[in-house]
Amino acid sequence: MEQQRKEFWVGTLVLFSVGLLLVFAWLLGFVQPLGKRIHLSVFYQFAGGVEVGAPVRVSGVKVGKVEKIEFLSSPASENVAGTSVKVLIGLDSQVRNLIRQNSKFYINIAGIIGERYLEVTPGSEDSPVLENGSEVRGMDPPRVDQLLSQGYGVFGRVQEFLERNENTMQELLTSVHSLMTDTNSILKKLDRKKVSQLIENLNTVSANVAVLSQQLRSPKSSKFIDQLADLVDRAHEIDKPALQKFLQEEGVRARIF
Amino acid sequence: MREWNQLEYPALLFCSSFVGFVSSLTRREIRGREIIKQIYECAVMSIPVISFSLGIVSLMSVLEFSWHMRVVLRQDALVPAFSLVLTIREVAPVVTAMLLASRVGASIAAEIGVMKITEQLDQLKLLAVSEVDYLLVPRWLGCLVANVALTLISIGIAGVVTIFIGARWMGYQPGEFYNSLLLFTTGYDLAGALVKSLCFGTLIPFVSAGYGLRCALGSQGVGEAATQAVARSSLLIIIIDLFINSLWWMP
Repeated sequence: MEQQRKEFWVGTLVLFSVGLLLVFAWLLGFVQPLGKRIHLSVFYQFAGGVEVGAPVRVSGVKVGKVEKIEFLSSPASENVAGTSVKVLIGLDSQVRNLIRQNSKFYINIAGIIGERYLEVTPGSEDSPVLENGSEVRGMDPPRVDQLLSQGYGVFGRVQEFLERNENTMQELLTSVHSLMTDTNSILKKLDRKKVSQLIENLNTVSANVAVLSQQLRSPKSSKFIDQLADLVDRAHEIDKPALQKFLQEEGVRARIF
Repeated sequence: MREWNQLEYPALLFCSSFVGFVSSLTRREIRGREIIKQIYECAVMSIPVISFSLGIVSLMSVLEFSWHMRVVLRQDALVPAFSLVLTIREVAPVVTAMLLASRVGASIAAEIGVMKITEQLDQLKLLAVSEVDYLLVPRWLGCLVANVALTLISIGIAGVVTIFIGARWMGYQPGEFYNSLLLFTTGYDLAGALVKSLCFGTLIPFVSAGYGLRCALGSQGVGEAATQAVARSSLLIIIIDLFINSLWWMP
């Protein structure tokens, strides 16, 4: 009896421990007893610090993780040309119909300590669904380090330019300062009433021009312009010698054309 | 013949036990009852004390982490993630092994020590029974299973305690805390914890048995052997923990 009791408890403990181990393995993503997973290879030129085990989110919801990262040993195929890193991701099959050919694969930063994750945007409905094992091109994350180093170079050149042309810059600034001072004094000397009157007149002129332009667009004006055009066309048809003769007969001496 | 020192003797016992275990496997002479008895003594009887201790240690580590995070970052949402990684890598295997060393190691050293001073070991020799096969193999297997099982239970308790504290005292929803619980934990960490628990589960019975087999005559000798077994086991656990850490996790 005593021996059976011990065997029962030992068996229970061993089974419980094996169960716990399986639960931990499931929580950590090693065992997937429920549902199949789909795998995609995402290619990047720059992987932005993403690591194996980093979460993969679709529309902001965690649905998988980065399973493997490897450098390409041979040149990438045509649709992922120019890349050097292959990131293998595993996703729950429930998002299968959301991942389409025009889905975007971004590497983002989240949280207060800046952990990296892979964000996938759902594709549009008219785009075909990506098959398991497809190869896609990811959106390279912005190179902040490169931006900083380039900015550092630009700032260095600006500083060098300023140092080299210090006297010229001082003269330029002095000139600009004197120009501003002169402009200011001119503005002060101007009679404000006259300036107001001038602006008022300009305002009236612009209003009149607006009215005129509006009138020109009216049907009556259009008709007048058409008639004028017609008249000019007909005048063009008049024979030059006949016109000269008419003018000579009338006693007018003129040089036409 | 030169005397084996305090590290060489347990290593020698381990090698003999391993050979004895393999040969008993080939002869199909597994002493199942004795092994089950040892697992019962080591594991089942240690569950209450280890569960309670690990629960308290997890509670303290969560509260301590929370305080530090609030001081530095003004928020403590990532506390469960940090706390669980620490528990899996360090607290669960080491504290479990320490408690097991103090509870089981002393028992093994005292039991074998008493057998030695009452000449029971000599009687085993007269019966042509290997003391290593008879005494050490079941204790080794018992301690090994016990340490692995208790380490896994400790990790589970730490996770549950962390979520409970988050919901009860820190104002987080259980689901919210659970989501960040496994943020930094990987299978590699869990594998490291299992490797540690296997090493410590092997270390405790052989160090303790080493002191038991070489204990001085008299009750004072037995007491000395039990004390030394616990002290040396604990020290070796810390040193081996450092080695495994540097090999397993350090870049």
